[in-house]
Amino acid sequence: MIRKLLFLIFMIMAFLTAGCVKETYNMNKLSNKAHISPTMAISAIKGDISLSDIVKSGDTVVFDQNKSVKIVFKKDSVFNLTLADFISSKNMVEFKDIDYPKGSSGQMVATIKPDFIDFGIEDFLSHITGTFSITDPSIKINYSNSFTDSIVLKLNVTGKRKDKTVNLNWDPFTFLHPAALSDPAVTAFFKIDKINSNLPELLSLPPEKLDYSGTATMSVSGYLPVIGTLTGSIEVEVPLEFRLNNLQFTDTLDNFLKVDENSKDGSLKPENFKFLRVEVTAKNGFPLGASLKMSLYNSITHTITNTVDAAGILEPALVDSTGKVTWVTETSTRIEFTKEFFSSINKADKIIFHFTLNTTGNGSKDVKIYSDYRIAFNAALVVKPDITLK
Amino acid sequence: MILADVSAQNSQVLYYMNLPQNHLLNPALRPSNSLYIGLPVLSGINVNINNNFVNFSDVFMKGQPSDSIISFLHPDYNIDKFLTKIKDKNSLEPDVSVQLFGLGFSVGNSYVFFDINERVDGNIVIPGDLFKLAFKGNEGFVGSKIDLSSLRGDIKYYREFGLGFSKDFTNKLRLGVKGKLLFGITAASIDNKSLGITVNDDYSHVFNADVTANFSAPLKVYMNADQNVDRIVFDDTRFNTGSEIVSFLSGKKNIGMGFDMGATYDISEKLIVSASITDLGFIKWKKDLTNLHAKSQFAFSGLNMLDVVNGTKTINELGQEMLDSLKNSFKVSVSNVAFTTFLPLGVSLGGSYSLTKSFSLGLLSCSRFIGKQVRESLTLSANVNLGNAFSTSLTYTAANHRFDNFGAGLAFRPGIFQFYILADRIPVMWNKLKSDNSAIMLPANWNTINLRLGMNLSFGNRIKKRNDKTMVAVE
Repeated sequence: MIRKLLFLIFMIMAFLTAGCVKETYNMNKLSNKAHISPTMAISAIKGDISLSDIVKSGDTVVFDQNKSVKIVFKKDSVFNLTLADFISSKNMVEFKDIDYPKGSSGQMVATIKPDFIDFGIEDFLSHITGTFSITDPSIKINYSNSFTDSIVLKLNVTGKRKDKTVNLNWDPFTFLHPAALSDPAVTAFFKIDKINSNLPELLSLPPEKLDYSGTATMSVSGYLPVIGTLTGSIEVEVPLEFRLNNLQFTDTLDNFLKVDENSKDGSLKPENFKFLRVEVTAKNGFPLGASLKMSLYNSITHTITNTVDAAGILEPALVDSTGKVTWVTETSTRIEFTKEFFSSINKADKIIFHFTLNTTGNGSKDVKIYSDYRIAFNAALVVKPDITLK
Repeated sequence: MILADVSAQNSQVLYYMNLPQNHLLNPALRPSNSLYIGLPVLSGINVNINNNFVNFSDVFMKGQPSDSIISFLHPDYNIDKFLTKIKDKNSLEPDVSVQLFGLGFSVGNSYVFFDINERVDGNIVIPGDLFKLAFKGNEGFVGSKIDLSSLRGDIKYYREFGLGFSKDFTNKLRLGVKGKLLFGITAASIDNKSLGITVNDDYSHVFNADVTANFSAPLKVYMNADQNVDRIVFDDTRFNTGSEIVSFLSGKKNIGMGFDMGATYDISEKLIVSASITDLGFIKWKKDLTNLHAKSQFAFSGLNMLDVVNGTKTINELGQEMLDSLKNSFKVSVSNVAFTTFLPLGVSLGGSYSLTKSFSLGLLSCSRFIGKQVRESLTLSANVNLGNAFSTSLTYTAANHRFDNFGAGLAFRPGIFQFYILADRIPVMWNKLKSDNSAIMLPANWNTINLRLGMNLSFGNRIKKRNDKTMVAVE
């Protein structure tokens, strides 16, 4: 019995010891290709920024007590008319009698010579399409008048952008004046706004150039004035209440991503990447939305070789009927730069950027900007390199 | 019982064999010869290489065409298949010991033994998350933590002087003890209190580290201008003369102690149970010390654009600040503080039942405690011991997440020479690697590679008195 058992044990041992060949590997045919391709993600930039962080309240940008924001432009002494500006033969029209000092009646006209203001934004505006509407701008003119006769200001202002023109269409204005020479000068103001003019339409062009001219007509009845001045300052006020509908900015730049194919640096060689992704998350408290599109363009063949589209990278916040934000909008966008994109880089000599801006409801309603609006965002890079091991 | 990672610092096959070396597993065990002498190198070489995660076929595989070979990093190979093999804690444990001298002899019913061994023990644990991070990146960890807290490394080369004694205290109970004096020659050890990277949903990262790498080795550390470690080089100027080499290898400055104890108890003539605790000890490393310590917590959440918007900083300044902060956070300090390494404590519980006087069945449970990890194995064995002349054992061990570990041992004694060879896992399947005109055979399964072999000089056979107990009764 024992001998049989021992024999069995030895047989098993012999079998196990001898074993068998499971696989034969010809190491001469070992491929030397080796790579790793981990997906690495890292937060790149972040921010939690309010409008008051970006812009401080001052003379030009003013935050009201209710935190609404407006743009204010002030200029003193925009006009300073004296009697000499009125008294000249060519200015004195329709005078029935000039029998000084016996008395006369008629009108004396001081002319605001035709001139223009060029804002120098023609090139910038040439890249913009879409509609832009400022809701409630106003121009406040403060004046001091010591003339005792009535003076009427007539102003012709025309805004121009390419072939579009908008006339201010503002009715002539009669300055208040003192009743007698012994009375003090009258200090008052008047406003040019959406009620009495086309000011919103004019500013919403927006104009590349403003043509203006005008007259100040003094109506004399009795003795000619012997002294007087009419001075004024201007205060342009544009509350940030507006609407944007598909306002697009397009610009074409030289292809700065292009690398010399012979360069040993070659950090953007397409074979080095499977993809690169930018992931943007945002909590947008502004009633402004944005989209971004980037196209690689070959100007010789006039073809777009690849496009990266980040539509809706920012969705506008929701607003109430007054245009104030009531609900922050969260968005999460992935902008993917594929291997094909990297392959196309060197086939393009230009990059075309398209930015599109919309206010809430695609510009169907007015929105107001407040200084405490804020946006929190995080942009992360997710990259999948294709690393060849040698 | 969870049969986790392997614990084969000493062969389980050895336990029930009639060999002088079995006192390494339980000092109460004794061979049947009256005297044995172990000669330098010849009397025992033990090699264990264990890993719990990778085999040859996981690293190299057949490609297309079918006779081509590709590695797991080949573009045509799905790396996910490789990663399924990866565990949370992936261990690699090389272990080599060479017996320089051995002596054992009986005095009455007592047995005295003395041996000198050169030992190299290593255990390295690589966190599974580290593999996933390297091959798949951090995207899969979003909202969780890349846990590297299990990263561990400990390798030491030391000399062990052991003196032991066993004796029958009753006619059923035998006790044995062994004291060890340890001389450490060189060591490297990683003390990892915490290490990890938290990846938040917004891809911001929080790095935390509290890790010390301890070295007792002739190293030179060079710092750069920022007082960070620039490079570490081996100081070969220390070994210009033979006496310098001998001084280094003596290990006299790195002293340690160890202790083994064991017992056997005869429940009946046929049933014997045994228990032992081995390698309860430590080495205090005091020579050639280098400690590299990194402790920091650093949050990277991207460049905060608020400063740029405010105009207080440029984006370049922000980037530079971030880099400076990163560099300062991970500054590695260097010191020369003594450190302690512990031997991997082993606990064995066994039982054998003699079917005949020369044939027995055995059951052995071995546990090893390495740092925070416990390695367990369970071995069934069939043992034949024909006096001093012949001893063999055939084992089946469940260990290292595998249940196909067949082991065997064989010892025979022609005259005064006792030859032995044993392995816990005999490779059943082999891979043949051809290259040019040569070919080598490698075990297909790598998770346990174990071999012990040697030759003792054996004299006499003390099994004459009935109160001399071995684990297996022999005539």
